[in-house]
Amino acid sequence: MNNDLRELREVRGLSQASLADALGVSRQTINSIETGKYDPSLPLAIAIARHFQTTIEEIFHVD
Amino acid sequence: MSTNPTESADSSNVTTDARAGDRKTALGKAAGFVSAAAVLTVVVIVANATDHPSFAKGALIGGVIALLAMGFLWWRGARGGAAAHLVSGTADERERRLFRDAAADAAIAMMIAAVGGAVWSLFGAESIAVLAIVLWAGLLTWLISLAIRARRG
Repeated sequence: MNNDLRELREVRGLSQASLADALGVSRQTINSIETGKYDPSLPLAIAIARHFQTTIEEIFHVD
Repeated sequence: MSTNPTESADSSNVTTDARAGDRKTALGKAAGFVSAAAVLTVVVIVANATDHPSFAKGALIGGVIALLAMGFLWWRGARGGAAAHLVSGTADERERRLFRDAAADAAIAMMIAAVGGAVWSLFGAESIAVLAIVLWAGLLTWLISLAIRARRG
């Protein structure tokens, strides 16, 4: 699954660590999501979407 | 889905199952440490009582190393890696998944080792040797699997 998390984060000037803190996960988890190595659970995907005030579909795309 | 997110619109208040262990107290950690030490003590006492001093010595050394490692990881806490997060109860969903998948690999390795050990016992292997192989197969597989999975992300 592809995602636009890195672009969204960088547009807002957030570091991986600060986003991780805001979402309550580790920085490594943010990195793994951004690089497509890890697909987040639905609760975490919802949290990410809410954090960026958008929808899950706008961030995550099926290959 | 292991937990439900809150209904808050503020993402900073959304509680995923990540970092659920943040609420764990020092009392909980102490209870875990004492429980592990108690299990180790019982194993050593039983081994000595059943005339297996070598087993007791090995269990004591291995157990103390494990307890020291646990203490170190607690001390590292959030500053450490996935292992420290898990032991400290602050692992997020990806880290818990890494450990769960590694544990599944270890279980398969232990089943294979148990079958091999059963066959080996037909050729006169001592039960304690078979047990040791099964345990070591599980432990080593878990560690190797965890290292590989963590590196892959």
